[in-house]
Amino acid sequence: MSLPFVTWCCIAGLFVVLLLVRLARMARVCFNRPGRIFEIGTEREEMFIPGDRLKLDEHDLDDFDDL
Amino acid sequence: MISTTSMTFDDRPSARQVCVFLARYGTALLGCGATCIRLEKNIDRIAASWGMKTSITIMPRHLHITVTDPGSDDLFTAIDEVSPAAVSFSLNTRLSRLSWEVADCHLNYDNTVERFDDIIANCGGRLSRGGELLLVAAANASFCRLFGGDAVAMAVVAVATLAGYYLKILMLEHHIDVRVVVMASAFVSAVLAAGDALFGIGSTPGVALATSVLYLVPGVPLLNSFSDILYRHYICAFSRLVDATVTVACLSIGMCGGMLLMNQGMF
Repeated sequence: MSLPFVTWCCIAGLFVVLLLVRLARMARVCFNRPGRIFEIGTEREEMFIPGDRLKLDEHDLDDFDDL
Repeated sequence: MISTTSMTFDDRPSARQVCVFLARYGTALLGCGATCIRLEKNIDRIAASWGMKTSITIMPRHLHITVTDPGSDDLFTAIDEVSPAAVSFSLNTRLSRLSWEVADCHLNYDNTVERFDDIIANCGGRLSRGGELLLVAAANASFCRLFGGDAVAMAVVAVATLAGYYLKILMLEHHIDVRVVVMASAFVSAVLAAGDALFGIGSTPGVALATSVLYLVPGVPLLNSFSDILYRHYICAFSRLVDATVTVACLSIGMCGGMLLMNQGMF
């Protein structure tokens, strides 16, 4: 293989590796952030019927909850 | 809508306050790539609207300003250092607009300082890194077209520019010397653009190679130095010219290194 071809491949390859590393790093940061695209939710989040208690109101029980 | 308060006689700032503010204002304006004549006019405009007189010495890396209050014969001098920053037309425009607002709307000192701090904090509305990369690549590809490059050459130049400019951003983030950064970016762009000739994919490989490093040409310092020569600010003009020449020399070294390795052109 000629020197120009090797040089070109090295530079282009290094850039592809650099881009992949940066993308992987960005993806990891995005994955660790709250509010990611895919995650396993709680049952409450998957099925909510109007009238269900909200998570924030867990200790705010009223007479209806005793029924 | 920004609310402003007009200046009354009681609001009139002291010579010391005006001097310290104008030194900050001047160094920010000089740092973002303004010419000396713009700096002089803007500073004089602000000082005049607050009833002060100024005398300025502009050095390549320092600003020396003296403010005199004709009413009380107070005189104050400040010397501030110009912080090295990227050329920003947006910041330049906003700071110039601020000087007109002080003159036309009679902004008082507190409002002006608040507005100035706001402009500096927002960096004049800088583009995101991704947007900047794409625009620079598109601009360089357009240059390639202007010089007669075909579609393949334009695509090659766009990719070479993206890689070189990205490397430049990364290296500058790591505080590497700007001359080394220019050399490395020019080398990478030249090598990648030589791919057009290496693989024989286009009909204008020479144009692709020649235009792949145009994004590194220091156009603003060269134009500013010419403007400074016209207005007889020879020290600043010479400094800017030398700065631009060094950058062009580094660019040439990087490009020649790339061409040498790729067996292209003059070697």
